[in-house]
Amino acid sequence: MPSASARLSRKVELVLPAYDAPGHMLLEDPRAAELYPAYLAAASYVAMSMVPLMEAALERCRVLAPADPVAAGLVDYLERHIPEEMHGDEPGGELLEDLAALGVDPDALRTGPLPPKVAALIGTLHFRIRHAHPVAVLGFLWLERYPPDLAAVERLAERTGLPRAGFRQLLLHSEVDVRHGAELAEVLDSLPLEPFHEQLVGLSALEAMACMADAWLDVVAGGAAAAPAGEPRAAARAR
Amino acid sequence: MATAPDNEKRLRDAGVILGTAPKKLEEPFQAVVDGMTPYEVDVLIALKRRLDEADRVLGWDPRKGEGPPSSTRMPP
Repeated sequence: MPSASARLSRKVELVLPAYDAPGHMLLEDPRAAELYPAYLAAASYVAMSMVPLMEAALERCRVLAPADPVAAGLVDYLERHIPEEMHGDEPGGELLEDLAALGVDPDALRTGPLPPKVAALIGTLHFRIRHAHPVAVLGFLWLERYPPDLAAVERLAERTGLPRAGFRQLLLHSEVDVRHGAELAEVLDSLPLEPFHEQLVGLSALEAMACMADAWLDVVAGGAAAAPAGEPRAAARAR
Repeated sequence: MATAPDNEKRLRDAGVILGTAPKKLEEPFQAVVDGMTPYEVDVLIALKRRLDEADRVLGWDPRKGEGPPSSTRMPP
């Protein structure tokens, strides 16, 4: 019988082509230099949300652990992985530094309105972690199984001519997420999952990948506002 | 969570599973498709429509092999 990670991978294969498409579109687009800051800004919400979501899951796992072997099995992993995903003094801080290098105001990202679909995804995950089961966070983390392609990031940097400092986190994640993704599969396969848990993880993975693909398509195929650049920080805070 | 017997038909009709896919899916995919909830199928179909719309906006026709190859790689 296939492992839980193999079953999840097969389910996610149904969404992978659409998940990959915006990146290909960006790379082929003559406006790539103009679009890339907004494209990276869309990804920044994942970077900023990942640690808080894992912290919420860890807190819930600790509560459930005495009577719940799945929650108990997640505690060690989350305690280990949360520091690995900080990437800065604040969650996602180094990605915000990359965006600043591209002329995007990080404060505007922190305080401005989130894309509604991304906000819905983050809110849904918090709800599931608290009210369904904290194992749902593994579906969100499954994004790490599909890291940026190193050669494609290098090509994008070259094509756009944008400061290399704006690509640091993509370049880093093209390497570290290969290891993180493998560890994630090992953790999933180590847990005594019931069908209910697998369904929750699978649904969360599908939603996370579909949401991000949709947000990136908004950038590359029109309709998305540009990333907040050059906006006075005080004005951004006031929104 | 409830699953639906018409998942495969809905996914084929929407182009998530391409017409070139075998009439009988390989067992691992068949099990995945059959086990999906109606909501999960909705998520996939909505995203496929969004992708098709993006292809149109950008003027690419995946059926002619134009543009990003990824949009033609809907498994299996």
